[in-house]
Amino acid sequence: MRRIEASAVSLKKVKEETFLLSFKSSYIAQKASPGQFLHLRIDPLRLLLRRPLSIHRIEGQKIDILFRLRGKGTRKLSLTKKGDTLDILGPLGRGFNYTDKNIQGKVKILVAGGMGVAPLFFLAQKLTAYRDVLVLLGAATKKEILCKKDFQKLGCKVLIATEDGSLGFKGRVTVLLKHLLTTQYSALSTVIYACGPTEMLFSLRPILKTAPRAVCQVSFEQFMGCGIGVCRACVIKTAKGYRRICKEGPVFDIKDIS
Amino acid sequence: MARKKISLSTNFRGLRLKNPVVLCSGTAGFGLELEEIFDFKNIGAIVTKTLTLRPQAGNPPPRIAETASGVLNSIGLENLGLKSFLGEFNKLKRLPADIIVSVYAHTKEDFKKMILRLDEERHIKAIELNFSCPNLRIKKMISQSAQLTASFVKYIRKATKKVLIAKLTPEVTDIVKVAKSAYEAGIDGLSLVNTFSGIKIDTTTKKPFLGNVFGGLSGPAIKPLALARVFRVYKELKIPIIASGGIFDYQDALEFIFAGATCIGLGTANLIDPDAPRRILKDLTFYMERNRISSLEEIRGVAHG
Ligand SMILES: Cc1cc2nc3c(=O)[nH]c(=O)nc-3n(C[C@H](O)[C@H](O)[C@H](O)COP(=O)(O)OP(=O)(O)OC[C@H]3O[C@@H](n4cnc5c(N)ncnc54)[C@H](O)[C@@H]3O)c2cc1C
Ligand SMILES: Cc1cc2nc3c(=O)[nH]c(=O)nc-3n(C[C@H](O)[C@H](O)[C@H](O)COP(=O)(O)O)c2cc1C
Ligand code: FES
Repeated sequence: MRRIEASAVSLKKVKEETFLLSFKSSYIAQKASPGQFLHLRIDPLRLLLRRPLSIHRIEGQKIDILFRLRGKGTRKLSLTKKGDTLDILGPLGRGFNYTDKNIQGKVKILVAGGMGVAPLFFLAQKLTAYRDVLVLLGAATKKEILCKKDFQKLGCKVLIATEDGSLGFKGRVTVLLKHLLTTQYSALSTVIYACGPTEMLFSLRPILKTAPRAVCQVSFEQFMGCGIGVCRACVIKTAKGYRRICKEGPVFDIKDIS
Repeated sequence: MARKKISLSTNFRGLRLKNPVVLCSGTAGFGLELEEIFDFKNIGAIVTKTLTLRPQAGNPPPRIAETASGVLNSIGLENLGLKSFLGEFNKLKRLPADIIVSVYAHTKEDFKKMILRLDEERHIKAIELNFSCPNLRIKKMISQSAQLTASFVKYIRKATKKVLIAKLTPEVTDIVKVAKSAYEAGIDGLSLVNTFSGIKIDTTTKKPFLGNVFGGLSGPAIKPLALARVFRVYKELKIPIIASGGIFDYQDALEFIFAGATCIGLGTANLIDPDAPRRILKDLTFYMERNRISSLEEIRGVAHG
């Protein structure tokens, strides 16, 4: 972890209210692992706290962040111009486990709800060395589906779920997952990686009840202060008590979350 | 033109710090977490997260919210408890900054138990008594009563010869009265101020945003309020003060020193800017050079004329 100043390479609008910000950093490119995040100081004269954003994609030394407009911070970030200096702390947190022996040889299912694709793309980049990566992208409507082509380019199989049925499976992405686990894949031979709204992540628990030994790693969000483990603002309740999302997380085994 | 030699070393009632920058309780963990990104050369002392006798789980999340120029927090003293802390203490000893341990207890007796244990540790240079945590579901903070403050200090004072500092809440009618009662009961110095109580309401849910409803407000939003308290207490008592409340740069630091502060406490700044201590010291040194000031003693309290 370091504080770096990087200059923005580009900012692209990829969808309504969704942007892709790129910058170069050999340090982050070298150190980062999927699921980790960066803490950005966006507008020092008007905003105090840093804003946590996932590492979306790394190519060579180029780092991408994919973000959606939410409030003042992300709005200001969406006005970034090429050459602007970014004040970044990172890489932070503990990401996905994708190298363990008991994970190899299993089917990997990446489950993304909305902006949840952000960290999962970087994970997919690392996983392409393995076979069998299935990506489930969920959103309210077709218009909000992100990164479909990018995942396909990597060689992943992509399935879509939209709540209004405008594309792919009609319904929530977690319902699609449940369907797949009862028909095509056994939960025991799959590893599930998920990111999305907290409510969606919690809805994975009943689905996995029937497969208590399935591995399911989930990336959670919480309002943060420092992002580096000192202030204890960002906690989530686990079986062992409160744990810090910025330090012990953001990725947790869903079984540990209470 | 011969340059005067500049010294930033600071004497807080016999506690010699290499510079006046102090990392405030709760915003720097136990120091170790910061080693990777903070340069401890630039830090005089670190005050640990407030410890309690037994571990404390803290408040339900969310625990933090940003407000205009401020931060509301309701951590609720989550900490590992005194015993585990002392078990880990060896690791802290090698940090090149002095260590001040912050403690809280509901009763005098528990305070004393903690102080007696801390008193045995040679490397602990001072103890800060947190008489002002706003995030606990208790009716009153100790430092909201001058009498209670005096009786706690008197009782605890007997347990140690280490430098004892009381951290006070700004939320009283007359902070000078509370400060004076602590002083007369034998306190060595004060930490001024802790956070101001506030809430935020979520406009979507129409309910309080923080898990604990109330939080403590810190950051630039409280600077003038903190400064006023430091100013008044110093004017009456001339007692050593660790000042905190929205200090982010050297000008903030100067204002507090002019008002009478001995140490410059950084709280919210630590959550945001790991470079703040270095920057403040560099700018402070430059200011002193330019104005031919060789020690902070020369400018301390000068706002009082
Ligand atoms: C580990 C982690 C990774 C994230 N990755 C991404 C990402 O890749 N892309 C993306 O679009 N968003 C991501 N988020 C959410 C993102 O941090 C918020 O959308 C952003 O902070 C909003 O800031 P704002 O100033 O625009 O909004 P405001 O609502 O004005 O922010 C006010 C405060 O709330 C905090 N906040 C608001 N929403 C969230 C949230 N959902 N989670 C945590 N804090 C929040 C802000 O950081 C800020 O302190 C991530 C959150 C976490 C915790
Ligand atoms: C996240 C957070 C946690 C804090 N925890 C403590 C604590 O445990 N004990 C304490 O005495 N003060 C605590 N404080 C108060 C700070 O030490 C400091 O006195 C206060 O925030 C004012 O300074 P600032 O405006 O520079 O932050 C905390 C403040 C913040 C922001
Ligand atoms: S945000 Fe400070 S501990 Fe996680």
